[in-house]
Amino acid sequence: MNKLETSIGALKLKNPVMTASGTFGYGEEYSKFIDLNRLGAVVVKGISLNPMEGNPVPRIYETPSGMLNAIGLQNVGLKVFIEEKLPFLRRFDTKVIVNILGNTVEEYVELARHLEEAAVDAIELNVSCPNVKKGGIAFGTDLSAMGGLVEQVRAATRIPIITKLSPNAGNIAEFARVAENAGSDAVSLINTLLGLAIDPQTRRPRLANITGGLSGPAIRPIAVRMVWEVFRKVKIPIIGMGGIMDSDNAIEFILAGATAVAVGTANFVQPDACERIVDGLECYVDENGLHSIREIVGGMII
Amino acid sequence: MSRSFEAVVTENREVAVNHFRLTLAPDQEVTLPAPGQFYMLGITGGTDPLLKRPFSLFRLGKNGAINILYRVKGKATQIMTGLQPGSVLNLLGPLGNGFPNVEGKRPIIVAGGLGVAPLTALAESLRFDSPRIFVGARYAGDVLATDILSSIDSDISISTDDGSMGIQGVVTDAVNEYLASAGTSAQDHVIYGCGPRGMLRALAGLSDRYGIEGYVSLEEYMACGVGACLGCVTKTAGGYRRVCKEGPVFRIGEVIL
Ligand SMILES: Cc1cc2nc3c(=O)[nH]c(=O)nc-3n(C[C@H](O)[C@H](O)[C@H](O)COP(=O)(O)OP(=O)(O)OC[C@H]3O[C@@H](n4cnc5c(N)ncnc54)[C@H](O)[C@@H]3O)c2cc1C
Ligand SMILES: Cc1cc2nc3c(=O)[nH]c(=O)nc-3n(C[C@H](O)[C@H](O)[C@H](O)COP(=O)(O)O)c2cc1C
Ligand code: FES
Repeated sequence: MNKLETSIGALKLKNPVMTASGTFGYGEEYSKFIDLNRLGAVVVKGISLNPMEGNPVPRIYETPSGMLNAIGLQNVGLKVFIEEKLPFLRRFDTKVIVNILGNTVEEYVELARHLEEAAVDAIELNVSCPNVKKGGIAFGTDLSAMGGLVEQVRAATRIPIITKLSPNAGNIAEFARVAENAGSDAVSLINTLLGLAIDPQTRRPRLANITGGLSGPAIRPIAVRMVWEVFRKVKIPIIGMGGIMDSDNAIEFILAGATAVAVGTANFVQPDACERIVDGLECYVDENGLHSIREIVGGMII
Repeated sequence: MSRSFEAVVTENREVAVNHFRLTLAPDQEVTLPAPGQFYMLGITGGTDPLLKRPFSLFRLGKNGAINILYRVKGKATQIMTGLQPGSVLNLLGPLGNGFPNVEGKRPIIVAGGLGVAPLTALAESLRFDSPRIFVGARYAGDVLATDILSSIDSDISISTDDGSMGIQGVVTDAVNEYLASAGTSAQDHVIYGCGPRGMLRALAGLSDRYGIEGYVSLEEYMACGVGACLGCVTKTAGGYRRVCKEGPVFRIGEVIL
């Protein structure tokens, strides 16, 4: 039996390791460096109905043990994604989860319908991107707007829905509960934390967008704490992320209550980070005499 | 094919104030890089600095050795100055698209400051096409790699802002003078440039004025180096393009400088 097997609602994963949206392109970019067949799932860059241009540069800036980004959701749009990007990913034995974003409920619903038709394995509702003015975050910071969105998408599709939560919106566990009640199959957290860096010489912000989202090891303790808070409030599975660099970090999230984990910034540092984490988890279950990784979900000993 | 590999430092030598030449011996057979391609260098393996740093191929050494010319800028390059022979670094590459070969044209190579790094590799690979080389810098101490460039059988001219070496003035003025004196044969040239944006803009102006094809290599902040994060884009006539993937070399006219 595969000891790493797990599931997010109806979605069966061969292991709990997935890529974090926006850090792994459309899968193709990293396929030279990593065997995509070894991943539990690939979560692709956020997709909107129409292509988006994104923000001006500089879009990224490194900070201590982390990085700020304000990409602005540049993406190829739904049509090109389905026609040109999805067929490549389909060649691999891994689940494909599509992160989606829109300006209105109708846009999310339309995206979900088309992606179900295209037979993707699940969708992740991005309601938490801090880097665009319209959409996304507008739903992620308002409990009832988010609840309404999840309900409408739920009514429109049967494929699993994951709601991606913002750490910038107040009580994250409240948002998780609203997503659960509205019919979300799972929640993923955390998206990036809103940050700002200024150049002391020029007195200008380091990013053209002024603020950006902080990711990487710097945010890990906050992310682990949030996963633990959400775990105590909801019954649906949690996908934990934020600064996971190795399998020990992944275990930390699982102990706090995550059923699966996503790896983001670490891909930039080590292109085969996800594969190493799968290897590390295999060792961990063996060394600890576990029959299944699921035995330790939420297993922090207090 | 580009890949992730480890390389051993065999030399790390200060060649001018704040400038070093780093030689790396890959631990396995790796794809030969083309001039204009670059590597992402993992400096510490720790989390600060976290991201790999992009560096151009400066020269290809014996047995596939990778030479890099770097300037001390901030955290990572400061740490790099302390690398000793035997240190092991993690590399990703070769990445991006190099300078294209244009048959039957005489290359004009225009380097501003550290732009000389990728252009040295190019000049060496074009040594039999009698390249015309122009090097620009702020002052004499910033003129790099002329030892290598002058060993290539070609005409080389140096410009400095303060006149402390070569001609006083900006390098693109020297290029302009050369093209003007070439008359109708100006069009038998192809321009390759790397340096500050202002210099590249001036080069694009010359390419336009004399009707000459040209290519420039760009820099942007990078996180992944492989096209995944969309951090490193630059504006082109067709919208944003990734410097690490569609670049770093772009055709003049295609890219908005
Ligand atoms: C394709 C490409 C090729 C390059 N080739 C060379 C080379 O051959 N020799 C050389 O000395 N330098 C080269 N650079 C610039 C080099 O990558 C930066 O100087 C270096 O990353 C600075 O790192 P740091 O930590 O010392 O500086 P810091 O200023 O502390 O770095 C902070 C952040 O800014 C980024 N950054 C700073 N300056 C630049 C820059 N000019 N371009 C891109 N990112 C930057 C760093 O990568 C880092 O993420 C190249 C850049 C690119 C994009
Ligand atoms: C460059 C970059 C782009 C991102 N793009 C998206 C995106 O399109 N949609 C999304 O939901 N999250 C996006 N994120 C957030 C990540 O998916 C993840 O939630 C966050 O980076 C925390 O994980 P990490 O610390 O492992 O990177 C992006 C993050 C980075 C660094
Ligand atoms: S550095 Fe990530 S896309 Fe170019």
